[in-house]
Amino acid sequence: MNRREALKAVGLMLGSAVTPSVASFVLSGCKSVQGAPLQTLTSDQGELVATIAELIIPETDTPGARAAGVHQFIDALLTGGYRPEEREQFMTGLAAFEDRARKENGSSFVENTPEQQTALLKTLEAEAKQTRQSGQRGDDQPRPFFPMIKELTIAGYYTSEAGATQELRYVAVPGRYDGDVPYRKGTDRAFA
Amino acid sequence: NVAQSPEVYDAIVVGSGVSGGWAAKELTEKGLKTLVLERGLPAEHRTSYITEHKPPWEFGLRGNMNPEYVDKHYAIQKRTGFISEEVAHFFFKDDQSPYIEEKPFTWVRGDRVGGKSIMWGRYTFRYSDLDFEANDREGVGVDWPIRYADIAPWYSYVEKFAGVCGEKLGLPHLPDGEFQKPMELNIVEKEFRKQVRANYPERWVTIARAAHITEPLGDRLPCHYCGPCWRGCSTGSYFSSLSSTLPAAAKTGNLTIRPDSVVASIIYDENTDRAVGVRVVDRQTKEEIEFRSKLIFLCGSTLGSTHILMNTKTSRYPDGLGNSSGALGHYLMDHHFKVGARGEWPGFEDHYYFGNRPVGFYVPRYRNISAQTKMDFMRGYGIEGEASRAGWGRNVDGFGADLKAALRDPGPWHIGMTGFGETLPRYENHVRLHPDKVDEYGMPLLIFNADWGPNELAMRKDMADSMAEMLERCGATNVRSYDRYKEGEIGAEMGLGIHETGTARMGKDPKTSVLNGWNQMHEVPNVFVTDGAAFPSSACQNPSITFMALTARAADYAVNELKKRNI
Repeated sequence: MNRREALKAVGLMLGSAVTPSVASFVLSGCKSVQGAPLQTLTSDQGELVATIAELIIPETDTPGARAAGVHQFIDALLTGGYRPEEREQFMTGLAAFEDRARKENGSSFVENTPEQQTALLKTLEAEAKQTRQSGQRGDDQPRPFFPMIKELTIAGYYTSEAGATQELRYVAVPGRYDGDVPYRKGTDRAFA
Repeated sequence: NVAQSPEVYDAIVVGSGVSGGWAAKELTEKGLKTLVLERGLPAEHRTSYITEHKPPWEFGLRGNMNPEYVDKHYAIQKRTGFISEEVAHFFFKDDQSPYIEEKPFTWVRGDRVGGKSIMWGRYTFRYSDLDFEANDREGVGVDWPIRYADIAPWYSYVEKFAGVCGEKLGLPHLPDGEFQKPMELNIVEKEFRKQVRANYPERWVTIARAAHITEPLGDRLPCHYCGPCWRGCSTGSYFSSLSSTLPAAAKTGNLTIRPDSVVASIIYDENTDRAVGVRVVDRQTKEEIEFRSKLIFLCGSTLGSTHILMNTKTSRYPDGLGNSSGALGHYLMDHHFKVGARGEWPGFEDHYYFGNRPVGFYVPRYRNISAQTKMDFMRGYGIEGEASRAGWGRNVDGFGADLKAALRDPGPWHIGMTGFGETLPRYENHVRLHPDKVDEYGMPLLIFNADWGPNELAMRKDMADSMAEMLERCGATNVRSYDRYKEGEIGAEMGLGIHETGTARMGKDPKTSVLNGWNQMHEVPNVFVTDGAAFPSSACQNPSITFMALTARAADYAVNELKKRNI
């Protein structure tokens, strides 16, 4: 991945709320942590994160977030790439998310029906958007959970081997530069 | 208890970056037994590029680059945004040799043989007489003791060896050089160029001139467009000391490189009024060692070289070697940047690019270059920019298969520009030695006190406004300008441009300058300073090619003087 692109991309996505550790993680590249044992998340939390991530980037004609190991990426980031307060923020958000699933749907999020899962994510996305637009969130308030995990899922997925080479196009050594090549939507893909 | 190296060298070069590498090459090729002292760790072409071509998913996170580790070791360097596992190993660990910021100053340092030439920006623009004459014309600082005609052949000389690609434009204020074929603007940048030419007769958009090769040069191969040059390049497709000058110097058999060598001061002989060598602290053992030579080239980076001169106090020079003028440490400059504009470029959705071009476009200075372009501030700025399509990190609402499908395609075209502005030399912008705090090598800590002045701030306003206006008039939409500078804060502070110059300026008069027109100390004639410290003004062009040309020119002069027994 082009570092400049990645920085720009993360900056664009996160706006002023860019968390330095995500930026530096993307810059430093993201190890394929597939199969690695979880270090910060419990196995239940890991399953919850994998379920949410797969809803954000599902398997289609290419692997989804779960197969790309996004939950392990998030665990690695929480373990070695986050400051304690950032880790705390994520963990608090994750716990509140699970509480809400239980309260609204009567069971753990991973046991909710797909319709319930999608509905809850949509609600959270709308709430986060409203918070952002109304400017209600003060500096001392945590970031809403949905944009946080969406950003992590996207960063983890498109820098994974599956995300970069199967979903997008990855060319390590292009060998030439062409400043105008045709782009055919539906056939071609963005470069990772 | 100081050890003394038994060997007497013809020349000692302090530093192995852009300037030191050139000094080493020129002096060894002219037959001088040369010792290069580098405070950084060892590094070699190819084998030291440990992250080259590594795909993102193969990088580990755990351990190295955790935020607390970065805070501890790279508290200053991280302000650049460059500190990552890709490249952190080439940067200086700030906690080794801290410094004091009375006002914010980001001092970016390399920590390897090769210095910052390993991860430099590689943009390469000649200075012109508009720059060399500016101080004299406007009564600012001191006059450059040289003119374009003095340095032009040396620009050609270093460009041919370094390998520079670029487009000739025939502009008097941005002279053409010895160029390999230029890299290519992409289709939106070409469109932007067309619009700029149509709207502004005095403005140009060109692909950046850069020390990249697009044609074979010696055993170096043309760029293969992988993208992250800062990781190092095994094919030697960009100029660095490791790929270019140091191998040439080694080939002569006259080169000795000693890494881990912190040069603390110069040894000065009162009787002969000459330097006779340098004092080194070995970085690993902390042992003090003296090395002797007939000639000394200080190429330790602008502030590294000045630091050594300031720390050389003798009864004749109580305020630093060769500093009767009092100019040493003063007139610190950089290029002020982190100011510009960006916007979207509508259309062209069925156009894309292939390959990771290592440079963007450049807009040569267009302010104060003629009577018609006169502004209410002095000097001017050049603009670096790029057009590209947004990637997977762009903001797309929603989630699920729709989001994934949307991110499969590249996003809209964007165009962004950042200015690099000339900084006036001002006496109050200075570094000085702390009276008693020292680092672990016994060097007194540097205190920085420098900031942008009224001329720079007036220029910044024009930079933001002018770039936004240019983008809008030429067809960009949703244009926004920005300026990251806030007085007293980190954001666009001095030093961040990594184009720091001044503090041991050249000049015609020994009463007001440290060096003469050959980068030679007025007062200690066998000491030359050929890095950015020598600059009496900053111009707005990226300075490294001028370091190279001045160094090669000074080496030629010094060897002739040595032969004539004048030094």
